[in-house]
Amino acid sequence: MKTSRRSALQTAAFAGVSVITASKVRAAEGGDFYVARNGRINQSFVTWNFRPLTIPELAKLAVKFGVKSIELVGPEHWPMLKELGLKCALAGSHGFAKGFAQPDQHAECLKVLEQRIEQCAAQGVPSVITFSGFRKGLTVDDATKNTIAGLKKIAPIAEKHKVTVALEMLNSKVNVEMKGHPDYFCDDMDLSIRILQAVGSPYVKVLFDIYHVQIMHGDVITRLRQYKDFIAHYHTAGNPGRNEIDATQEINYPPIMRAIAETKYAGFVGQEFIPVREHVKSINEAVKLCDV
Amino acid sequence: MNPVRTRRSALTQLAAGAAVASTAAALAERLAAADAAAQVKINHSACKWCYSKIPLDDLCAAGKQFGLQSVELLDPPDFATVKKHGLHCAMVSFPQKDGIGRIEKAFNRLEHHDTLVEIYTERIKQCADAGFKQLICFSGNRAGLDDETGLKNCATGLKRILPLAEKHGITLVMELLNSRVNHKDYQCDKSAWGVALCQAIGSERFKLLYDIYHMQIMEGDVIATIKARHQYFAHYHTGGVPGRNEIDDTQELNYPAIMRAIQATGYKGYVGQEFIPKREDKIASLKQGVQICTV
Repeated sequence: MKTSRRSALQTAAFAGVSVITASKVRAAEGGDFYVARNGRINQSFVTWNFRPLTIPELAKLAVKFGVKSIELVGPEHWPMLKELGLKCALAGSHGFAKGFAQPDQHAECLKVLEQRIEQCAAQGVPSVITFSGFRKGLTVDDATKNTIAGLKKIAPIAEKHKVTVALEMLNSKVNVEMKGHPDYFCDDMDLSIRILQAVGSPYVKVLFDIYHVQIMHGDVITRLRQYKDFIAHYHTAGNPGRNEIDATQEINYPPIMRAIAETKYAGFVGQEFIPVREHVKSINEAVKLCDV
Repeated sequence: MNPVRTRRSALTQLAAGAAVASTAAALAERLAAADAAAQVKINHSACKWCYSKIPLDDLCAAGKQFGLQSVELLDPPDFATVKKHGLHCAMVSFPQKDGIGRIEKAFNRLEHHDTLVEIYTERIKQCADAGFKQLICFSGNRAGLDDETGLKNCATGLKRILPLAEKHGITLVMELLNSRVNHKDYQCDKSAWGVALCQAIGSERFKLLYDIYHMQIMEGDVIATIKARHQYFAHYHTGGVPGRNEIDDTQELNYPAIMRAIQATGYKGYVGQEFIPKREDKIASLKQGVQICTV
């Protein structure tokens, strides 16, 4: 008999509820929604993609759905998160349009990152994002050298404060705003890892965005196993489209989450998809899909 | 009485209970036709080599029970067996002589062309006699050959046999394989290269086999690639990633979504299950694969 993924998940969810009292109570109080309960994957919400939901609204949803973090938000939001018992798993810094591939942008990025690392250290935020920026006609070799040089400047500060700098790899293929970034330099996971190896700091790692990796490379589970020691953070989204992460798209998230858990990953997985359906329902479904 | 009143049962009752039997039957027929038109079904095929310990006769008999319509990658001696079961062979296996024709040694080398022309000429005629429409072929390994020269050489060799293929209505289909895990150094390992070869050849009788497993390993972005390049894809293969096993929830691809994308291109061909069953009951795994791809 064929069991659909959805019904299998519902069965699993039901079995989970029956043994975990706290979840049971919360589920009973709030009606029909899923509360993360397995504890193998720490989930987080990115916020820009869930507009018009506000950051405080998303924080309340995180609490309700058993999600432990709201990320890529500035320090002004951190006290509110702390009050709700939430973390900020990943701090924002400079935007993706600027970065270490361009030597003339090093000073500006370093300034933003240095200040943000100090804030992270003071308030228990474990990591901060950074980007390569665009290639702008540079050869891959030159852009690689520049990025290594820039990250080497930030590495001692990251090490001193024990805050991880996460370099994000983005896709340069999809020419649709916020779904891809043509000419973004760091668009290759293998190259990203070579850059990190050259930097050689345990506090400079990569942000493995599953959506971007699927667009540029595929072979997601093999890559995340291969590069587990270099991964600071994960992001999700459905492909194609960067929308819901369910069965409407090609990436099968539950086995990927199981593979992540098997690498003993202790960090967070940030939901970064742009819902096309009812936001709260889609967010809850995503929480359930990743709670393996 | 069945609490679920299907359209068919409702119509049957209507037909039985009134003097409008012929009208109801006509209506039922029209509804069925409309349903069929709305949903181009995926045609199901399975690769014989994945079930090497099961006699072909048994594989055919079992497969028919759950909707398998073809067993593929067969050599001519097997044609009679599938035909006996009323099944098709959606992709005929490659001919070979002195190792030429195999995955590693094929069309990208000029020195293979005379042999390839000879063996493909015979195989095309065998396909035509059997009524099978598609025949697999390979690029061969790079072995130091750059991609541009390899492409040019493939085009040169294939053009020598395409007139015969065109005459018999047989499509030569070059398979895209991964060179990261299974076929190190294989040249036709990226869909862009394959599409460029199709364009260089410019015949409807030369296309690509988009193997979803191999291409997920090499380039990802499966649905977008199918959407953009399906006019060059004559056939599809499946397999779970990583591992090439069952295509279910143990691996990273959402096959139903990919099948819907293939359907949306208006594809009327077959999808060949080409995973190596890991579980004990291999036929049950094949049945599951067919069900996952029934969308």
